[in-house]
Amino acid sequence: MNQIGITEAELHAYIDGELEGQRSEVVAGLLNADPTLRKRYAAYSADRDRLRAIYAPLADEPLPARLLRPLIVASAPRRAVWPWAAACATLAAAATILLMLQLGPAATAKDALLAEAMAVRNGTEAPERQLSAADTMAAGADFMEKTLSSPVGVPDLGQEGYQLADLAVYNDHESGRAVQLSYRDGKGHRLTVYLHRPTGADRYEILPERGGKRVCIVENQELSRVMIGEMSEQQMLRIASLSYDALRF
Amino acid sequence: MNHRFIGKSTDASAMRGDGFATDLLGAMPRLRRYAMALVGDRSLADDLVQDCVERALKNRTALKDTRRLFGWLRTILHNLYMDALRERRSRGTTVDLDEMANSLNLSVAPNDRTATIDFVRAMDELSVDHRQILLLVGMEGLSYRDIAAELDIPMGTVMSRLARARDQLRIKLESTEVEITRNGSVGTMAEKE
Repeated sequence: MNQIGITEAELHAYIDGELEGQRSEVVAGLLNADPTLRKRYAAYSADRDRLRAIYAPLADEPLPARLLRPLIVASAPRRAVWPWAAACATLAAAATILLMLQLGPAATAKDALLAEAMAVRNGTEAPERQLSAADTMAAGADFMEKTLSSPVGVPDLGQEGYQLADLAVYNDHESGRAVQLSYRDGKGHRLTVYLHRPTGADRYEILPERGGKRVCIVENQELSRVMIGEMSEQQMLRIASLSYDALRF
Repeated sequence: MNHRFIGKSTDASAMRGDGFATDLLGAMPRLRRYAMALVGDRSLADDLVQDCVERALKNRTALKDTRRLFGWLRTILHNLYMDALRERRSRGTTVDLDEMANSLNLSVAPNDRTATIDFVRAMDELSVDHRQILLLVGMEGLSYRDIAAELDIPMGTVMSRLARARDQLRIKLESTEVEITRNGSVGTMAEKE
């Protein structure tokens, strides 16, 4: 108890709005009457506010990939399906959080790989070679592997209503060959899967919807993959799951 | 159709429905913030969060009420931190407080940056118990009742510990302010007010 009849604990409870009834009125009265107490109250309140102001922005930081991996690993129901799917599911939620915090778009605006995938999707880049779905099948099992120097195949997305429309090969003298797989569903919606030699990044991301498009990026030391489609987050997750085996995530 | 060439369809439902992992993910930005503020070192905080998530996933059945998820995670993290502190003390490892203070400074106005560094340093000089209760009240916005439940201590202990923690913080900040004034760079808190 201090000299003016309230305890230190009561003063702090008053600061935090935890003091009720008569004791709260006593503290309020003393604060009005005592400039020294009022000064202490102001200093403690300022410290409390400063603490919040300094540390609050830390929750806005993107989560490092290494913190997401335990979730991905442990939530895997079956090895054959989960890595793409769980990674995407996990990052979808992370992306939602980032979207809520309005961090997502700024964080991805300068993404060169995404820009490249978008340019290819939009036809800005001319392909070196283009194959129809039938020609792609006829090209055989080794075609993708030879093109990308990675043992990947063409995902069968029929379960989600998407059929392969064509395959385009792009040749960048600096980064080597890249492939875009184009799919269409019965309503004409387009899904593109851009496959690029590894950029050195190691990340899993589903970006917030932008311009009606959903983007899923998965990169590791073997391959970089960018999936772009006009679809819900849930459908992108299902497609990522269906693609896992073929794209050897 | 060549099976190797064309990826086989798999059961998409296998990836759905892990509510615990989703809840855990939703809690992670706040958990990481709490860890960084408590520890004062980004790298150590990330290690703790990673271990905390692994332990939470391993012991998920121990959480009976999912509404208590965040408090449960904080408790796990706190225990891990105490273990890490013991280990670090025995090895003489120190935390990289300046890195944390500098990164926090990125979000504050330039004229507040010295004050931010001083504040982070003052926080770091407090005992873990004092830092913890200041963060639970000031940053997490928990009620005294919730803190008492989370720390398993009486309400009166919460109140007295908080009062002592704020007093200690104020003493450290005032000593820093006096030191700065002595060096002639910035005014005291009294002068600012």
